Amino acid sequence: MNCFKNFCAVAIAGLVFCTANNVSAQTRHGTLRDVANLNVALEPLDADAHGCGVSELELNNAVQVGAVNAGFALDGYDYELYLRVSSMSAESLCFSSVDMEVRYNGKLKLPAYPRGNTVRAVLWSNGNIVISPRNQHGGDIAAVVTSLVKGLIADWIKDNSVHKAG
Amino acid sequence: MTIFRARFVLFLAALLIAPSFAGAQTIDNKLKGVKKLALTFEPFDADSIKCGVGEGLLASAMEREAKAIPVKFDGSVYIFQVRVATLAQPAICFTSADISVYRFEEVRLSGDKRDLHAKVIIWENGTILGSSPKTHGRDVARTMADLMKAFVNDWRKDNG
Repeated sequence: MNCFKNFCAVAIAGLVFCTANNVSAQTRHGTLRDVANLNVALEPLDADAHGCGVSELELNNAVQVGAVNAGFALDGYDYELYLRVSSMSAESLCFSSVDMEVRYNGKLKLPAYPRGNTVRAVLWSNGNIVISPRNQHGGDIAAVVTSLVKGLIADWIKDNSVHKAG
Repeated sequence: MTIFRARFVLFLAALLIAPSFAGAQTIDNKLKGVKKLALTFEPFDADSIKCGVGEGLLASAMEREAKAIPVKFDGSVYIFQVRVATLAQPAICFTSADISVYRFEEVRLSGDKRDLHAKVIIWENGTILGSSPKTHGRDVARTMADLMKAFVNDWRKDNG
C-alpha cells in the first residue's frame, strides 16, 4: 500500500492522473516460502496497449528492474510470475489495468476429479489501475510493474524470514 | 464548441468499449459438479460510487443471468468473486471488472513435494470499459451480466 501511495505521489507530481485499487497481496499463509525460481510470463498485449505506448520489452525490463536484489531468480519453471496489462484509450488519455500473480500449475483434486486435474494455484497476487496521458502511459505502466514486483519482494522476504525463524 | 461537444457526446456514446475479455477456461471441464458458490464482491471504492457502480445494481444484473443454471449462490467452499475497480474523470469513467471462481485449499506442489494453502482457480474472466459517468453504472452492470452469461455457457458445456 505504501508503494502505491509513493507511486501516486510521484505520478501526481508528474501530472499523471492516477488512482487505484490495489488487490490485497497475500502472505497470510506463507505461500511464497521457498519459492526460489520464477518464469516471467507476459500476457500478449493488444493493439490498444501498444497504441498507449506499452510494450513487452519495457514490461520485461520493468520486472527485471524491480527484481534486482530479489531473493528469488527469474529463471525458473516451477513457478510463474504472470503479468497481464489490459489497456484502452479515450482521446489523449489511456487507461490500463495491471495484474500480477505468482502461480503454480499442478494437479489437484476437483469435485468431478477425485484423482486430480491440472489447475492453477495463485500463491500471491496484486494489481493496480492507471489513467495517464497517452504520451507518458508506457512509462507509467512500467513504473507500476516495478512497484508491484518490489511489493512481491517485500512479501517474499516476510514469508521466508518466518521460515528461517521457525 | 457546440459541434465539439456534440462530437464528444457521440464519441462517449460510442466509447463503451470492452477491449479484451480474457479467455474463459473450460479446458478439462473444471466446472463439472460445481453446484454451490459463494458470491462475494470486493469493496467498492469512492470512484466506483461516484460513477454509479454499486453492488446492488451489479448483483441483480448478474443474478438474472445466473438463473439459467441450477447453481446456488448461497455459500460453499467455492468463491465466486467479483472485483471492480473504477477511475473517475470529469467526462468519463473507466472500470476494470473481473470474476474469478476459486477456493482456498491445501495444495501439494509436485515439484518440491510441499503443502501450502493457495487459491485454486477453476474459472475466470474479465474486461475493461469506459463510458460517460451518466451511464457508467448501467454499462458496468451490463458488462457483468455478459461475464455471468459467459460463466453460464461454460458451466453448461462442462455439465452438459
